[in-house]
Amino acid sequence: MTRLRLGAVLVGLLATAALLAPVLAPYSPTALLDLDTLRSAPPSLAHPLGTDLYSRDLLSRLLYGARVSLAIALLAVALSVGVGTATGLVAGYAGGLIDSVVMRVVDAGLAIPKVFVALVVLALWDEVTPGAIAVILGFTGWFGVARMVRAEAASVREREYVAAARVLGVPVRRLLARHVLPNVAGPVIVTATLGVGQVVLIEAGLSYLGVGVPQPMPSWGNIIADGQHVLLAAPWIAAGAGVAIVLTVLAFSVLGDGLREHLDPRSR
Amino acid sequence: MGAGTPAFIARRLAQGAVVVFVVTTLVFVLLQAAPGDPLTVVAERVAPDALDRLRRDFGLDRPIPEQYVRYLGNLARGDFGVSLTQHRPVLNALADAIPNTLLLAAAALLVDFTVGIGLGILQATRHPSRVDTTLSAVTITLYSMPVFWLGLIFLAALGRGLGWFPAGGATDSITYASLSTVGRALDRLHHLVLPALTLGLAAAGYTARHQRSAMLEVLSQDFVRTARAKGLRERVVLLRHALRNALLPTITLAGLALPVLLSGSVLVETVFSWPGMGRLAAESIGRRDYPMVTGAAILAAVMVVLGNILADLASRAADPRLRRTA
Amino acid sequence: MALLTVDHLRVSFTGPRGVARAVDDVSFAIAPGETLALVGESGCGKSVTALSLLRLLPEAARVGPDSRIVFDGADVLGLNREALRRVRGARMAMVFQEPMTSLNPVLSVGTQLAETVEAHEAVGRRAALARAAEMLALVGIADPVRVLRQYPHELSGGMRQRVMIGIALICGPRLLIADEPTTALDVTVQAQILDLLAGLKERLGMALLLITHNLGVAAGLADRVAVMYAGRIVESAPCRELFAAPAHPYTIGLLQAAPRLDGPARPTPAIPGAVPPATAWPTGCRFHPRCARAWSRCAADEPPLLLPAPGRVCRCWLVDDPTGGGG
Repeated sequence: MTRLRLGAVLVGLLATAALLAPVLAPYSPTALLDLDTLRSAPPSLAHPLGTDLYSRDLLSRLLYGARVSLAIALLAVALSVGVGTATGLVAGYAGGLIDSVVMRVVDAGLAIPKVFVALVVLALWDEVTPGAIAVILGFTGWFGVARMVRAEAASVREREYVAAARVLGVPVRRLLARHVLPNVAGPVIVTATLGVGQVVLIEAGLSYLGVGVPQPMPSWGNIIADGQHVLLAAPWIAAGAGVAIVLTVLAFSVLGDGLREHLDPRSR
Repeated sequence: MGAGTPAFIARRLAQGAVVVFVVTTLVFVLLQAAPGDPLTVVAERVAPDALDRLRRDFGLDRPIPEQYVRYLGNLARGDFGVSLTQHRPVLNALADAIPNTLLLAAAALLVDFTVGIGLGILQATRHPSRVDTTLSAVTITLYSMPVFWLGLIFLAALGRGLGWFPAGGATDSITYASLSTVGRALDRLHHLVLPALTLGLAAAGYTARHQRSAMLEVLSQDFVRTARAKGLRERVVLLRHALRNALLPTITLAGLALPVLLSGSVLVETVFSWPGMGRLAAESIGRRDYPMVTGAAILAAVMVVLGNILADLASRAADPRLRRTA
Repeated sequence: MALLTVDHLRVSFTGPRGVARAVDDVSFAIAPGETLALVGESGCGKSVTALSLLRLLPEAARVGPDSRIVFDGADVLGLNREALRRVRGARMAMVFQEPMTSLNPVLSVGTQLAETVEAHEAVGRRAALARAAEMLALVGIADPVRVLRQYPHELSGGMRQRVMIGIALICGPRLLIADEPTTALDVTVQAQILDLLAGLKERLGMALLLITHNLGVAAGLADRVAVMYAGRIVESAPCRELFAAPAHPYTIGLLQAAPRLDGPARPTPAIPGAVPPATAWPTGCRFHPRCARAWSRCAADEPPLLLPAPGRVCRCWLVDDPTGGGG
């Protein structure tokens, strides 16, 4: 099976699981089922993936966690692509001072490690919601896209047919849409797909640190944080969530690779 | 390295300074944009008029442009503010922590390159084969792993589980003081292994993939065929001709990997209680010690900028074509 | 005794569009000190032939089981790795078409020359570099000591090709294979390089296999010329005779298509059609779809190499039947 197909299938399965979580989950993700007997219970028929420290069913938590993590990742990437593409187009096409200033900002943005940026913003935040996390991660991730789009826009600007088109009065919007976007669409799609995986990882990291998705809302990251306390006694808590993350990121990586092969046959 | 090197370094430093300046401005903007006031943390425990006084002391009642100028001025003087938790200058606290992060990052890069480049070369020379495909699956899984989860696995298995390595910290809190110099160095090394392995392996997956495709690309180039046509030993062809060229993009990659490495260090340092800048930043969050967090962010960016300049210098040294212009 | 004998060489590649029989039963021989030019358009298999002599073909290539290449008494196709390595560069050497991509960009000229010597002879670095400087002077580079320290990107195209020739000849091979040595160069530089090759040939007494699509280049250097088309040799003759009286319609077409300066300007007739893909050689005579003189026999049977005169071969039914089927 080609990578593209494999990736698409995996991502499809994940999306389905996430969307159908309310239907598939045997219990509520936040319900404390039995604080006396079901704390950190190993996998069993009633609880296929076991329960966590607070007697919550892990399978349900993982399924709902998929919803949260995937939703955040998709929203963040959409934001990154939108802002990055727009900025790149403007900077690349305008050239001159605007280009220089924007590119310095992009350089600076790429220089600060993403986790640190997120920490700076979250340091002052009172009530963090998944939406807020998505927005923060979206605004930390647009720099790479901007650079890519800007390069293409700048190279198009230099070409003769652009000067000709301008003389004829073709609006800039149309020029950009017809000549820059098609060339840049492929790499941007690939970057976006791979980016979903990366955002899942970052969000998991932030949730693990306790500054991401707030308890009791499940996120794979904070489930691992829970599991850390009983790591040797109840490894299934951290293990399950970890495997879920790996599979998700793997799925998007394979899909991204497949898209890259498909859109640019020259790459290996 | 070429006659124009001093000029090159000077230019890159100047560019770097501009980037750092923009970074500080970005951080300032972020602070202003975040909903919440730096003083909300203490707001409950402090009387209203004391709160006002604090506000005036921090200059938080001033108009934003004035705050910005004050902020820049402070930074220029090395004043990153006072930590709200450690009650000492942020710069001092970070200065204590940064060497540990640098040590971890260096060790991680060592692991990253050794494993990553090694795997990449192995895959390229065995391409196409089952070995190549299997290793590709391994590398893609490696870089799909959350680094903190990998750390927990190592911690559980090799640290607490088998007890081969310590379960955290940079030194043994009990015995370190009484050890000899060599003993101390070994103790530090012992503590360094798991965190460096974690951070390094997570990065190695990406490096291996990159190195593999660089190597495959180079192996198909004409000059490799010329090298064989000259009757050179295969080992010479691979190392002196193919690898030397295939390493060039990997050196560039090292520069780009720095931010990711530093992001990862926040998580790894937390898992292993490693006393570095990352753990400091993570801990400061919960207590809303925003001067510490912003100081850490700015210094992290400075490290990235310097690291990139070093990577560029390494590129120049390795590739004579880059030495043409200063 | 011949220095190089190639018998029934077949090289094929399997690809998405089928099996490409790039070289399909090629045989020739080169005597010591002789220059043979292998001429043909791109796609005829001449480069693949050249690469197979040193076993430099890509992984995907398959050499036919009946193929034999004997160089200086040794069965090249049967040599083990180490023996092959000792032949390459030292006894049989090759110069490639594109000097920029054929030289390692990160190593100095001196290193690339010296390492060849070090790989085959027991000399130290210093001695090897001294030999390198001598070689650079021999190939006509002024200020060899300075050039030793330079990198390929700092040299002009002509100089790079001289360096490549120097690398090939530094260990004194008996046979030099030059694959389109001047194609990537400016016209003025081409002449210089060809003169260089002619001079070196005389001085060093080596044999030369010259691969080219340019008949002028062949005419200037070759003792004998073999014309290739569609993976086979279609004509072979001593140089002067080939140009004076070409026998095969393809050769005639090539000669007519070459622009001439010794007469009034006239349009140069091109050979109609295009070289067929190696996955689908035409049945019968492979050239017949493009041949002005083809008749029914040509489409039906592929001609073997016939002998129009001593020392000449030609793969065309016209040798048997000059009337061309009575037409």
